[in-house]
Amino acid sequence: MGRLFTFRHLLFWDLEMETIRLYVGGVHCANCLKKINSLQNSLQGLEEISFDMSTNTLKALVDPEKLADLDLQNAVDDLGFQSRPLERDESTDRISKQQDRMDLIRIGVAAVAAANVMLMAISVYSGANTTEANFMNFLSLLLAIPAITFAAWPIHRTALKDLWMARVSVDLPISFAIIAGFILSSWSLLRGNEHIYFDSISALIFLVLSSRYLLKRVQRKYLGLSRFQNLFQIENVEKLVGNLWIPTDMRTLNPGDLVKVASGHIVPADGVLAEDPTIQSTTRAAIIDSSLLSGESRPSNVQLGETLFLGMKNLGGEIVLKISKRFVDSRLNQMLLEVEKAVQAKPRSVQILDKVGQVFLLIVFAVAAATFLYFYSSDPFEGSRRALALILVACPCTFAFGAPLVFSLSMSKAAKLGALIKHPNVFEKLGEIQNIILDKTGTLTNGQYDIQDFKVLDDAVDGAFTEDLAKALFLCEQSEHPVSRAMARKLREYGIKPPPTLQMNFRETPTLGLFGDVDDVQYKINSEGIWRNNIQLVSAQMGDRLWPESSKLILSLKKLGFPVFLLSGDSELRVSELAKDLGLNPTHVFSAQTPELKQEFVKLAPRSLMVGDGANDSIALAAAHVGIAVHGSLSTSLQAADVYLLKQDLGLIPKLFSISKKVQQVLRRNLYIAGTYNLIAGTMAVMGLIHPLMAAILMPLSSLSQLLSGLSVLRGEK
Amino acid sequence: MSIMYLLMPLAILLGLGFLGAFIWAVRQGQFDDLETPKFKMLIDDKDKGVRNE
Repeated sequence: MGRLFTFRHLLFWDLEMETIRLYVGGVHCANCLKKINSLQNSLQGLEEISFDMSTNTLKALVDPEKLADLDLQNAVDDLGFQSRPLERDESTDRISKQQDRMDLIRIGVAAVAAANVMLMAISVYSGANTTEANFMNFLSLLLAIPAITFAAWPIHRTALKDLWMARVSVDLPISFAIIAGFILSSWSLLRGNEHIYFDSISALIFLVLSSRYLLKRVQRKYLGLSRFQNLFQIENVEKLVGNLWIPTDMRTLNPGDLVKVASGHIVPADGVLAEDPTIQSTTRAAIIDSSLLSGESRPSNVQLGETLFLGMKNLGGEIVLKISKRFVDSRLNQMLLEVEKAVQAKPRSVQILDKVGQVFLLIVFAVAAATFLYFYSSDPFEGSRRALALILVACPCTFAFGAPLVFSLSMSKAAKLGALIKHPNVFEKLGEIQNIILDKTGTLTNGQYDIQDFKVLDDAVDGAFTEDLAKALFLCEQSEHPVSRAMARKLREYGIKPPPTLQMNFRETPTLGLFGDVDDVQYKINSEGIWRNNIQLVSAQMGDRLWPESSKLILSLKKLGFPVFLLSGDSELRVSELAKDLGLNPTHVFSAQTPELKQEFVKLAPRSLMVGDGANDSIALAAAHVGIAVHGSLSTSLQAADVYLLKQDLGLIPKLFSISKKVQQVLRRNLYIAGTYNLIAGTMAVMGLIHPLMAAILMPLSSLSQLLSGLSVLRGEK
Repeated sequence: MSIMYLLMPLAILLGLGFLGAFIWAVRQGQFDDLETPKFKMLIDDKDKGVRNE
């Protein structure tokens, strides 16, 4: 990494700098770049910032004492972009960059060889005399050597690996055609024969390499998404040792340990809510945000003796926890392991192309062998010439570069619309979908526990009204509870400002709300409103809101003929109400689903498409035939999903279906074109009618038809 | 036409020269990011903060 030396480095040259890497979505133009750029002037402790639009990666050199990761991330988000932390480790990045460069050099070598050999081939075809032709063919041979050895090495390598592992892939016939063509041509050159195909071979190598590079680039651009950091930061917690609370790494806690969890902090391990033995306190319940595990944003109340899980967040006052499981055995960790396992074990559906490719290959080799055997007794040279010509001419263009081109074009088209596709086989799998399963919170609804209906009750107004609201706002801001937070946001929207300080007595009670005594006035704030001495000042209603696209999505999915299921961790009442609004079949709606139940459901429904968000959906996403993670999802769900929506627009899902349909149409058409070509060219080769000039015309023609046909995936559906 | 025997190797040498230049450019990282530079030229010099590897 080029490290920039600023004055600060010269003055404090032992300064510890840190590199932060973020994935930033939504940077498309010079203006965006300028905005990112301007952070350098506005953020303290940001030494250097660079942005790579080809991988959407922001790299910043920061002074960790002045600027925390999260501050930088928030600053980027405040500019209107969506950022996610990437792994600190750059080694994978560096290796892929090296590979990219090597690929480019190979393409360059193949291009120089192909272009020059073709020039010479033109002179030969246009009637050079024998000595000149021999000279030029000899130069062609020399030029083709680096192309078939160095440039085509990745193809040969895969082919060798295939032979070793006794399987068949596209690289095997390509590699075979290259080598066979080279041997045939060199041999013809030595024998003064006219069957010289150096031009066709080098052009084939160039086309195969460049189309693969294109596909890799498109995939690479979004690969960063699957390399996000952990869900939460590992922090120290206070553990009771003897009579003292000692800070301890949360990963080292053992069953039986007692730990303190401060307000606003993560529950460090699975455990039971306990009493604090060091003080004589009254027993009280805890207010817990379990959205990471359940996906539901409504905070829950947990009583003494009930179990809390790693990853939940303590919203109320300080609580004490008796650990029941080690960090590694926790439910969340088990879930993450499950996701990893499922992602690795996900059966890569055998693609139609692979199957057709194998059959095609067998036929070509069988016919070549038959041709050779037919001539074996009479003219073995002629037999091997025809067999080699057949293998060379029956180029598996569709498999070699037609398909990668179609995939890269359609993936970048989907990405432009706002859907990132991890692997091209998604297009095929989408065509096999039979059931659609939707998550509720965060997917169909905005997932934010927010105030939907906020009314200031006029009859409560007296002179001190705004002052009352200001005091209420001050109280709200003392609390971590989402209701208080939402209320505070709303009050600030109304232009209320809290007093700088306030003498008060403040307490939070689960289910009842937040109480504060200021002088002799008592304020009460809960999800239904704000009270002053039992007189209601403000009425409010909480809930998460349905996205406007949700009902349209369900309508269009039904029109496509899919049964649509709704799974939610929320209570039955809320879910069934919502399902009625959406027009869903009540028997297709399931409430109070745990992550494990969702996964079970997905596994039982054949060929299911699961749409979800959050860590709670990730095991279900991984189990689904196709998993789609919606905008704003947590890193685990991204790892588990096949598709990630960059925009909050569920309307993309039907569009994905139509793109998938188009892709399959084009691939099928490519197959027909290639089949026709191979039938004609192959027959001619077997009959000994293939002349090198003919091959030089036919082969590019077949490639061109693949390219033109492939380009048509870009049409339609803007 | 015997000049061809000189010209063609020369032409190929020329091509190889360009190939060498291309390899050098790739090694320099000039093709690593083909997206950002086209926008960077629109940004005034004083905001030189965004830079490439």
